[in-house]
Amino acid sequence: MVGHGLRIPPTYENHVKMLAPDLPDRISSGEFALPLYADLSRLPESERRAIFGLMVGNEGKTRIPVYDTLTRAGFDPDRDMLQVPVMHPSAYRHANFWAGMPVPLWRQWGTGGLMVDWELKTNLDGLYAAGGAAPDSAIDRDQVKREKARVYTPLAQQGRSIGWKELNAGICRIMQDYCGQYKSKETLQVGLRLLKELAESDATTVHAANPHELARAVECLLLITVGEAVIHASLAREASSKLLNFVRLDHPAVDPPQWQKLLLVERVDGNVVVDESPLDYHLRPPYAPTYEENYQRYCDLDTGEAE
Amino acid sequence: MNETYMVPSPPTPNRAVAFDADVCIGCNRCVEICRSDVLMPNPGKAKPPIVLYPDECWYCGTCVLECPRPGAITMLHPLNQSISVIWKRKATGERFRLGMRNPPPPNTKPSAR
Repeated sequence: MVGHGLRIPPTYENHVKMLAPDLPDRISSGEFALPLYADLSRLPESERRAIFGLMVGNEGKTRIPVYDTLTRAGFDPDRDMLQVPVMHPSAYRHANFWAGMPVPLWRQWGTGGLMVDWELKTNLDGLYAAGGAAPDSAIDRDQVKREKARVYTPLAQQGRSIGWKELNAGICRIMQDYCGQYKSKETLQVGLRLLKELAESDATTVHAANPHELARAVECLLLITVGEAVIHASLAREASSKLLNFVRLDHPAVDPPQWQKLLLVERVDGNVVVDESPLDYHLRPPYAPTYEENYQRYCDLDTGEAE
Repeated sequence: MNETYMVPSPPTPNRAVAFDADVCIGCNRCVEICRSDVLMPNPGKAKPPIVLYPDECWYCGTCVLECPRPGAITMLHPLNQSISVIWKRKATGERFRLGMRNPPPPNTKPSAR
């Protein structure tokens, strides 16, 4: 559970409860939408300057890493609100949630994956979920050229750059914070925006010194796309689901009948299109109504009849 | 044979600190002040220190604070930290992030020091 390994003295706990004892419940119920913000602009100016300027600006460990870094990046406490880390709602019970509480990052895997037909073909002609591209698929030579240029870019980075491990950690952070155990439209949209920013900024600087690092770097670039697909799918499913281990704070109803369906997320001409399909699409036309018939039709299985 | 060698730690995901060789004068004050001994003097005269143990960096910033040459040292906050340093402008709803490609202009108002 949240706070695992962290011991809060009872008196401190009681003091905190006086501040906002029901904050986690009010987040879980949807009254407060994550992320939360610290709004110093509503303080009297003297207090704001004391907190951000005097305290943050002069304490040994915050002068450079917090005060200088933030003001140089344009943060202005007179008119900006600083975002609180997005966490499991129960983590907001503790006053020091500002620093981010340790929360379990690993979740039970739900379901989801590539949509294929009985021949394992994806929605892209010639591309199969197993076995790669069919030999007769049309090859776009220009696309191959563009892909080569993109894939080899990390080998030729100049100037300030990051390694694949740092990029990987950044992607993980976005997905853990904004598409974690508890999701809402707001957090998912922030996550989507951050992935886009990442793709346009830090990810363009990823470097690789050898083919091993190159493979990992390219994989990270693909992970950004996968993350976007996951977030789009999470946004589209406006209901929680026990089967999928999927919790939407803003849509708490669990497995309502109208959401017993597959959601198909597809990129068409650069835009994300969401469609839906019945759970048993593979047993509906144009396919046969039973598994046995489909296996016989598509997998060349022996029908059992004597030759 | 009583030679001693300094061996770098296994590489970390990020670099922690970067030096601008054109600004740094190699005075090694940052080396002296670093509480975690992340930095080592460069054998070359007047050259920036070597970031030998970046995994030990606390990001306390004392190296930057101690440096007599502004701009010689830059702290490189790890991406998994900076990606979540976000603020929203109340009047416009604009969102900003540490390390974003087109950041707003720096806040140059003097602090209450």
